[in-house]
Amino acid sequence: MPAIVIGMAFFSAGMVFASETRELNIWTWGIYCPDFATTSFEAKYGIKVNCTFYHGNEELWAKLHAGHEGVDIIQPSNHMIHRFAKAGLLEPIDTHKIPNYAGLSEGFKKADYNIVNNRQYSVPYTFGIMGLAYRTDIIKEPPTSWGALWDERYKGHVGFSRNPVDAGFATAKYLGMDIAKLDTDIDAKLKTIKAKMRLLNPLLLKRFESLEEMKNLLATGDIWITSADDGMIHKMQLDGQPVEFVVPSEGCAAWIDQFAILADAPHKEAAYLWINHLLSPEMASRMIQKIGYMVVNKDASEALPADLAEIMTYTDAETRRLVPYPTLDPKTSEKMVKAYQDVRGE
Amino acid sequence: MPDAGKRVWRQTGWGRKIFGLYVAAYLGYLLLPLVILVLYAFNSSEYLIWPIKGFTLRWFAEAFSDSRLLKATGNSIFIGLVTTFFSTFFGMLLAYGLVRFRFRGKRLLETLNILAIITYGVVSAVSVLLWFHALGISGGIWPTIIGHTTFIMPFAVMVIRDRLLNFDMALEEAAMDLGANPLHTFRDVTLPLIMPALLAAALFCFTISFGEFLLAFFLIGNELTLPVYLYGLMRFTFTPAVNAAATMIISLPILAVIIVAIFFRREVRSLY
Amino acid sequence: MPDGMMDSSKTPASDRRGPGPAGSGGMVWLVVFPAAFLLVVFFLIPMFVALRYSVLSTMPFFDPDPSYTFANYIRVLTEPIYLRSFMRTAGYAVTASIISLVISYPVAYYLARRARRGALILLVMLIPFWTSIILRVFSWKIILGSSGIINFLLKTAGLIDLPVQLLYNRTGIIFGLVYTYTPFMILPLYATLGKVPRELLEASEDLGRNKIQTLWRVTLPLTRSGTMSAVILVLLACFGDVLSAQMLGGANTLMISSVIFETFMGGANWNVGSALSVIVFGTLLLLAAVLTWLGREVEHA
Repeated sequence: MPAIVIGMAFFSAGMVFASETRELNIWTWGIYCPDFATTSFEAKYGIKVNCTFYHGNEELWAKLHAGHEGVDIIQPSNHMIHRFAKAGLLEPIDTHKIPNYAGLSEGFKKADYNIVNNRQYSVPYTFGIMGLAYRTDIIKEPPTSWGALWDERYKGHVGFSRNPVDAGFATAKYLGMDIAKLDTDIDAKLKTIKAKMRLLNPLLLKRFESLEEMKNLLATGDIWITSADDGMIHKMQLDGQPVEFVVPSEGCAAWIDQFAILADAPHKEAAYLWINHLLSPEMASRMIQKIGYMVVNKDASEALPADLAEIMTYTDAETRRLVPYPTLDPKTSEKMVKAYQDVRGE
Repeated sequence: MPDAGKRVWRQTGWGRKIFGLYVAAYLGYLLLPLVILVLYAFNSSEYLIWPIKGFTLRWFAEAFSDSRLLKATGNSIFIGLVTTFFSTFFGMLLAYGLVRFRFRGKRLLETLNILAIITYGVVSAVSVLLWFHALGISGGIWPTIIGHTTFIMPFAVMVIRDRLLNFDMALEEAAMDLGANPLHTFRDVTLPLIMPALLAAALFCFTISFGEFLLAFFLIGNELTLPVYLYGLMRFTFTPAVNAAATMIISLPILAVIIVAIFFRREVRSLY
Repeated sequence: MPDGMMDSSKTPASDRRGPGPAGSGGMVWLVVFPAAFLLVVFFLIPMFVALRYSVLSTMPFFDPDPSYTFANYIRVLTEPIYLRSFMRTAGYAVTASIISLVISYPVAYYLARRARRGALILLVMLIPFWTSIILRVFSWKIILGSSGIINFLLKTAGLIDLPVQLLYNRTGIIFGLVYTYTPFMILPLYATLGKVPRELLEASEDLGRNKIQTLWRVTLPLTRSGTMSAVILVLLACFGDVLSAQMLGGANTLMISSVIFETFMGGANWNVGSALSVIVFGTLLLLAAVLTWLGREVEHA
């Protein structure tokens, strides 16, 4: 009889331990794990948050394949969700477990990019527009088109992304192509794109590897005009730098970073709590102010302080020119990489 | 010839001064980036614009709380110490063997030794990466130590060999005539005489290993050394926390030099 | 390999003496074994590994049984990016080496003539190396940038209106290379200059020559091969330097070292990268051999 009691005691104790340990492991971009979020989360739920950073979607893909034991949340961009979901990496999301999901801006609630086989695999978090930026004190007439990068007057002071796909998209947009349909007829299209890019070579000062690098190059005045993500430019403006962001007239791509839970995540309940926490109006608001990118929470984006609202509000005309960052066929991406390398080498 | 030194410098009162000024200018040029580095660690703005906006200590706080930075520094120190030990020790052995003996394969070793120094660069680093890759060894601390030792040891060989060539073998021969065996001769006669060279070589080796980037980048795998971590930071973060970290790191040897200068004034003067 | 880097003005002890103390022969190998092992296994063999990968079609982890091919070499020799960046790098290397020599020689000369203080100064020169070269090259961004110190001074002095572009172009890279490698030139120059016997210099002056003539007629010829070694060291090092190009270079300054670096940094074609490495390495060896032969010492009466 005592044996059975002791046995049951151990059994139930085991069950308690079998439920999730109080921690959460996140792989994300460098800016999505600020102290104010982790501290408030840990205080509220008693769950420790561990963040590891990556700097690119392909890097995330490679890292996951190298081994991701214990990882709960990842934050790929919208165009990667299909690839990740089809590879069986992601857990379908139950949006009912995220009360703050209701507070998302309407346009983001239902989207092609996070739905695979009628199931939703990710929740949008932030978005960033990949457009133009320039020094307002050096370039007097505001540029409106991608063509401004090719302007001879700025020779030797133009910046461009080193990412082959981003650079390709910018050039393609300038040429009037539909970047969502880039896969069709890619070889012919790449020929035109390459020719255009080659014209840019003598005007370029630097192909920057990261937005941080771009930020400094623009701030020091080494470059006067460049391709850029809007969030970084907003941050610079908040810092008092004389820069301005432009949504080019030909249109441009916008990425939407997502929350996704790994299929084999050990702390799924904690993951839902974190996602809900970051999507709360308060956290969203603070995040927007910290990183300069828009969080998709409706209340937060509408309740911005005046100075930020002025910088970060886009007109309807501008929003209509945006294209969600499209998913490309891996072969297309490979070709774009090779094309860009050829252009770089000349 | 008591005034030999003077004769070589004859007619160069002002010539010598200009010379000295030039060398001082060169040292200034060498140290300038260091000064800038430390200065910007206190910059309240994170942009690399001159002049400095304001004064702040927040980057130091950030650097201190960066666990990866501390880990990377620790790794660099460990790798540096182990590399120094093996480089100096094996280098001393090789130098001794090359100077005192004739043997088959000596020419080959001398050539390899020099080539390792001359051809050090991205090509060497990449080749070692390929070799470890072929062996199925993924990166880590020990592959980095092996890589570092292989390429830094030749420097130690150079320094020690120079010293060995320049002292009289008669001392060694005398010791052996008196009945000491080669090992004892080495320990009691040679070793003390080459000790300055050994110390110089060790210092040299540690300095090189600590700041080395290329080999570490390719061989360190999932770990970090300080230069590798800093490179990653520079590509993606760019805040002066990097400067703060660097300032903390170089403050140690600088402090050491200052202490030596103040407390060992007499010994330092005798060097003149 | 000629004695350029080694003691050239004294007969090496090893040539003066025969085999060392009794019981040598086998014992020597015991002594030099660890160093020899490292040099052969981790320096020499990797070269052959690179050679092997350069003639394979893919890396073994993609296809365990790849075929042998010259396709990688053909790519390297025909695609313009490789030849262009190589020639560009050669240009930078030569420029940087010449500038380094001009800057370093007087410093090395001064250090060699003032033996004790010279050693102290060398120690001071070692201090910056405690900070990784990365950081010091990085700091040049603050000095040379469009909003940097130099442009600030030029603007304040009223000498320029628009900033001078000193970074992210050829100027920036040469600056970085010269900065990185002058210490590596000063050291061997110092060593070789220090070996010129005082007596010879004094004899020369007794003959009535002034300092410059002594330099030209006595010092330079005697240190010819030592100087050439120092130049070779820096010249070759520039080909393998990655940091100056990555941090201070721009869109149109692609160096062959960056091409190799980026190939192996990411998942690009390692076989082509190996072929590139083999070719670059071979060229550098050839260059070093030719230059050493050119700089060999002429026997002096």
